[in-house]
Amino acid sequence: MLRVERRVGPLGYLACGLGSLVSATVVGGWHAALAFLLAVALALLLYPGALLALRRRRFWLFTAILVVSSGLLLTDGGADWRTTGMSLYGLRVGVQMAFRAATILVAVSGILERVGVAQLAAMLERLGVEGLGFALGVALNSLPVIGETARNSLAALRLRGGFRRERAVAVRQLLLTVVTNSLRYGEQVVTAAEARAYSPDRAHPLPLPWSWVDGMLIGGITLAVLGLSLL
Amino acid sequence: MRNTVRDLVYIGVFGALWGVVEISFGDLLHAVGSVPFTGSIVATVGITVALVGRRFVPRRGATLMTGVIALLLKLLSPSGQAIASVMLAILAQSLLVELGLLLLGQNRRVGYLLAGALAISWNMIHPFFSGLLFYGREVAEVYVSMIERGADTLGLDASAVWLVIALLLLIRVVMGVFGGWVAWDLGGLVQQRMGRRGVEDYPEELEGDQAAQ
Repeated sequence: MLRVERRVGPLGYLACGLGSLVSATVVGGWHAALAFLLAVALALLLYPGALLALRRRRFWLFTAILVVSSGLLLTDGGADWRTTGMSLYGLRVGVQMAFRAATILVAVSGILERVGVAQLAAMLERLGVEGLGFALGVALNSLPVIGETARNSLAALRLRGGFRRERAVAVRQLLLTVVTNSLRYGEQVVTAAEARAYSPDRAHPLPLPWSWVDGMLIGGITLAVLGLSLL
Repeated sequence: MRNTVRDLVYIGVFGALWGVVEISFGDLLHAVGSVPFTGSIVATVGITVALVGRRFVPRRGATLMTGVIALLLKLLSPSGQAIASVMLAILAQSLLVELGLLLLGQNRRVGYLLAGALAISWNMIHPFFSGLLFYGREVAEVYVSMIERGADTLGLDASAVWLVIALLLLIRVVMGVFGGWVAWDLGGLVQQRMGRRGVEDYPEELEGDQAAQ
């Protein structure tokens, strides 16, 4: 199992996550439980960490409120607030919604766990967002510069008593300094890139690893989703 | 029209600034928890940064790309927040900024005000939209029923509840307009400090906007 997991590339993980998402949205009624089982099976096989998302208390609290509300508020004829007591139909709809939500939560967590930032950028670049890889690289490299500028500017403003009076002016000065210094860093990057004759037209998109396991996964997931939607 | 190296670098820098706002300021405010309109405050700062960036790269789609960078950086967020939901919100807000600037032009303050208002208004719609995506269309029935029953319990007319919702929306519109106003001014100030590089370097965009108006 581990050997297979090592061979799966970002496209394979994306296909599994998207497959779970699609199955959660296209199936109706109790088939939502089957979609959830598929998502859990894929998570156990390929991205077990995604199951930790199901431990979020906030998610379960909101879902429990929703299930109870559905039981109280929904009847066969749609919404009826005059209903007293729990309606079996409402509870059923609520539980089905909970299955759908849990499936989506596991699928999205799986994608976010296994597909890295650079790989997502590479996929988007292949979808037509040209230069995204380069811009993302600039963004990642400018993070420390932004942090340092913000820290220095904040310290300087504090030492001058900037936040004691006219706080709005101080905040504006801080923003102005951080943005200007970040752009000055950007100008250095432009000069360096142009000196190396970098051109977005000639740049290659970021590499995207691919293996036969990805192909098998994509095929298998497509069949599974088709099967679920035809049930 | 293809982006130049400078455009891509500026998009990267402003995407990083927006990402930093979402990761640090956003996570801090959400951790504090008791601040009202937390999401809208964070979004206003983020959209202000993105709109300042638009003054430097006045090309259609530039803010959308800045938003994509910011949402990719959000993946690096150390907090256990609902990252997917925030990413969806950033994407929707950048699309709404693009729409606002497309409708009223990107070389006028009024375009920035509309773009800000539209983007921050999304914060009002977002919980309902993500609820629909997450739980399915049945959740809409539950929401409407909850509003009706809540109004009935409090002895209010259902229209009063919608009035409250409209008021909450108005607060967000005002926040967005404020963000757009600040972005226009701040962008001008930064351009002055940087030696005036902005809209005038994009004659084709200027012509396009003038033709649209």
